[in-house]
Amino acid sequence: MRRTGWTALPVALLIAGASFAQDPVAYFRQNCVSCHTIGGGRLTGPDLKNVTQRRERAWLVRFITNPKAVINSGDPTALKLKDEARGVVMPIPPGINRELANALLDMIEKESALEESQFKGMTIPTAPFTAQDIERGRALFLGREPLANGGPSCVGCHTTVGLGGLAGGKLGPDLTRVFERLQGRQGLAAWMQAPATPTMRSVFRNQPLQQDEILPLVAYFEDRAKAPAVTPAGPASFNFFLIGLLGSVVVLVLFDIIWKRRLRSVRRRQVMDAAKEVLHGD
Amino acid sequence: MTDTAQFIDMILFIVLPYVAMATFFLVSIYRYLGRAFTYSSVSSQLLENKQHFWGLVPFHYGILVVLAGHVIAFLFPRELLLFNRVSLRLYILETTALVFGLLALIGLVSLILRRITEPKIRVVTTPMDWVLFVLLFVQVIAGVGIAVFYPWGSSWFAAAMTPYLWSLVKLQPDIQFVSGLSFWVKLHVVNAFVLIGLLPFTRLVHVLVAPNPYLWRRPQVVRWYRKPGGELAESKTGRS
Amino acid sequence: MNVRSQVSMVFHLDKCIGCHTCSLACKNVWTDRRGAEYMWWNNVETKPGTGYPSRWEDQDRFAGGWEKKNGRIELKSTGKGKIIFNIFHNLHMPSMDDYYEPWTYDFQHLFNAPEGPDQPTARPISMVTGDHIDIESGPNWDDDLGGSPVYAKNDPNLEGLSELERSQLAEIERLVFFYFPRICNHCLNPGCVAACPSGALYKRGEDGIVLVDQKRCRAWRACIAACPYKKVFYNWASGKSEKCILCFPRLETGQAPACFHSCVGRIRYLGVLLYDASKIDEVANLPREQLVDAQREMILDPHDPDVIAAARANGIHDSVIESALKSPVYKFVKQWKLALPPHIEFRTLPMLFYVPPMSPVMAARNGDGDTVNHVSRDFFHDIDDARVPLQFLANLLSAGQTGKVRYALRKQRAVRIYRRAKTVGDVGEEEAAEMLKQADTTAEEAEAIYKLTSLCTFDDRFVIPPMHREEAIEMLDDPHERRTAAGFGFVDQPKRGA
Repeated sequence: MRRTGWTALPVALLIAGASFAQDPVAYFRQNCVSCHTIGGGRLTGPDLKNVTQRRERAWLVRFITNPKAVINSGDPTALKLKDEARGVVMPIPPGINRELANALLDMIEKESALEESQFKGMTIPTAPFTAQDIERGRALFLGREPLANGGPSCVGCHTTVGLGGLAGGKLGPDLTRVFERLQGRQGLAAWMQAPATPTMRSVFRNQPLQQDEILPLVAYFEDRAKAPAVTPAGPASFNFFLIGLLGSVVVLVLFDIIWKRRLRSVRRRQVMDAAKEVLHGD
Repeated sequence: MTDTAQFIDMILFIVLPYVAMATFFLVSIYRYLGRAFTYSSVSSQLLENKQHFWGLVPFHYGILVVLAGHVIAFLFPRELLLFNRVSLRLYILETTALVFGLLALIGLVSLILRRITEPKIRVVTTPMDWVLFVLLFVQVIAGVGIAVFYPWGSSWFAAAMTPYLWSLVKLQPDIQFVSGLSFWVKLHVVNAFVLIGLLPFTRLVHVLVAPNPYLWRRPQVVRWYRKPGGELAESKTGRS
Repeated sequence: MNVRSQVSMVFHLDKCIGCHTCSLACKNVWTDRRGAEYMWWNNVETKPGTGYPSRWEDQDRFAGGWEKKNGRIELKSTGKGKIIFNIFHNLHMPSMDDYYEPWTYDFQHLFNAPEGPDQPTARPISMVTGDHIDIESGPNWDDDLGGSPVYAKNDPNLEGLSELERSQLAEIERLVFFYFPRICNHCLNPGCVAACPSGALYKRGEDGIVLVDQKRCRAWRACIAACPYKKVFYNWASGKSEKCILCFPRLETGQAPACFHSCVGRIRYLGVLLYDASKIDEVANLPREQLVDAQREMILDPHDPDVIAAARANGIHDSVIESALKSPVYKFVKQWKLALPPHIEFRTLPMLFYVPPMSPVMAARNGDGDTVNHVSRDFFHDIDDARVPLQFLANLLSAGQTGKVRYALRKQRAVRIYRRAKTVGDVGEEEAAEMLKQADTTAEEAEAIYKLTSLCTFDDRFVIPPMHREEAIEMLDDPHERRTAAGFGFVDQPKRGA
């Protein structure tokens, strides 16, 4: 009895937290479009057009509610999907349950029937990006040009090669090769539209990247991916630490100078001085 | 596996913060009203005053500057992100933060050593002091580690931690912001809440009574026992 | 005029025999607790000597009291601006090493030691750690000029003395010292009160006693550094500051404080002074050489009808005014100008005054080795040739002005000669009268001085004003609450850490 009382609070809070996305369309937009399209071709994950006809519904529900468990169970279809996605395992959609999974599948079924689904995904030009695109992407990455909706710039958490200085952040992964990891322009753009990792999703949910910001960033990442060697993360951290250590030593010396007149010892010094005098006097 | 992880996250990032804050407020107020005598920084400078300087001064300056940084990022995330737009400014800010973080670490280590090596100081060290030292050490080590290995905190704190903390304040906790962060960041956050919850049980209460009226009161304090209001009204006549 | 009353004190140094009875009375009543073992709210120092804590008068190191900066006085240690930056490590607070590490002896060992070839000894044990220690210092380590090459030689009051005077002080034939008992001066412009960041220290409005509110003390330690007399102490066990409370619980029940009561030499006098509180700031800001006179000026004549009216208007009880009329302190300080404030240049305006000591009769051994020859011109030596240099006393008691000390000593000498003419008769009446005149006194005054100095009873020495606690607001308070706020006793166990 006491136990349930104790656990009731977080459970209630979770339900409250998850209820924001019960509408399947909104939910799909927020959580799925970074990897899936409906009729727009594959991104990281497969195109979901007519997926309900390709697979059994029960299997789909099982997979959506816990992809990793299905893959781990050795299910051949799931393993094949994993291979196609170059080993990327679909994360558990936040707040998913059977009803929601079914509602999503219903929605996908409906969207598949349409001529052009609203989840067809972005159309990214295939022409090469210009140097200006790349430069603007770099400015956006570094935050020199703030994101229009107020989102934080990439450099706070991510780095790429060729940033100079103390490089970018390391809370998130190095994005030098992200272009390859997300399988090109389409995948990258879709990801940026609705990032799927919990932290990115939370941060950008209410301040998404804009279309005209995504393109230059894609350009920048594509350009980075062409860079030859990947610099290891070590030296930047180490240098940073050394600078910090040096700084703190300087401050300590400053403390000593500022408070050089602090009282150390009066009585003992007095005795020592007198003793010295006696010794030298003899 | 994920269910358990999610459950643990909820305990650590929703239940713990509220429990910690509730304890913090209730116990501090209770202690202030009921046992004001115990509100003291219980200084040990009298017993040892040389290493005291090298511990207390770097630690306090370090921790205060770093804490101020956290508070600023909590209150003005947008402004901070705009400040960080220029890489040089970001680097200077982060380096300053690291310098003061390291000062706090150096001071704390010095204090711990002082507690261990000075026999007179050992006498006045309570078990609670040790609990506090361990927690503070974990906190500062994790903080410095994060600053070095997970830069740039001033940006991502404003982007991810601030919304999380505000979601707690607004009573709509959203742990999505923190559930994906690395172990050290999580440790730092959890340990911070543990420290806040434990604060009213430790000597740390002295931060709550840090003197500020002093700066405005008149230098001399006179208490009358016979005048109406007496001590409680405390007539603070100046030197006039 | 803002008349306030203050329970003030005079210590007659000429009568102090240095027996430390006062110190022990105080210790046994107030400071034999854990954390307070090292404190001596009352202590007796030998002068010349460095005292307790060592060199406390040296404000270049301890930074106590006030100093004038840009025409205004400021605390030398931690003023308002400075406290924020220096609160973590107090720059000028003495450590226990500068006082002494309190100890006891391992007496049990005398009984429990196993049989062996040697006599068992009781080794000293630290009262802080409980470990065996080597004693390096004590509360009166330089008593009676002990270790004078270290202590007497470093007395800060030797400043301004000529080489000759200094060397004479160390000469075996001329060697001299006197005792200097000290308690809290319950100053009018206390540095400790002004320094306290928490506002825990306060001066009682009715009697001027300076106390530490134990409940509000947060161990910021500013008071310890700010008191130039080093008479606020830090209790390392409770984490609170403590100081002399002038035995106010005794005063409130009409008894003299323990150190006064127990004084063997009857050197201590206690009584009310009325003073003009509106002048505190002005006086504390005056140039150094005007301080002694200005403080005397602040002290008001209780016979003056205007003063009485103003005192009444300020709520001072008639019985207190009556007590002020009989105050021995008023006579010594204001009427006779015999008593002087210690180190008034620290600008805290101390309300404990000292009558400077006469030096012993100066004599030298004759060549035959058996007879002794008086060196000074007459039996009561000339003041300016005294063995204790005037400048030394002046540094201690009148901000360096020898005139004030000379005046007090001359008057004392005149009283002696006057009495000698009366009782022994080897001095002529005219000579005595001339002496009195020179010393700016009269036969009546001399008689009064003689009586209050030599024949004083308990009631003469201690004129304790009624404290009128029956009118006190705190009668409505919880007595337990009161105890902690009034500077002694604990409701909560003084525990560290938690």
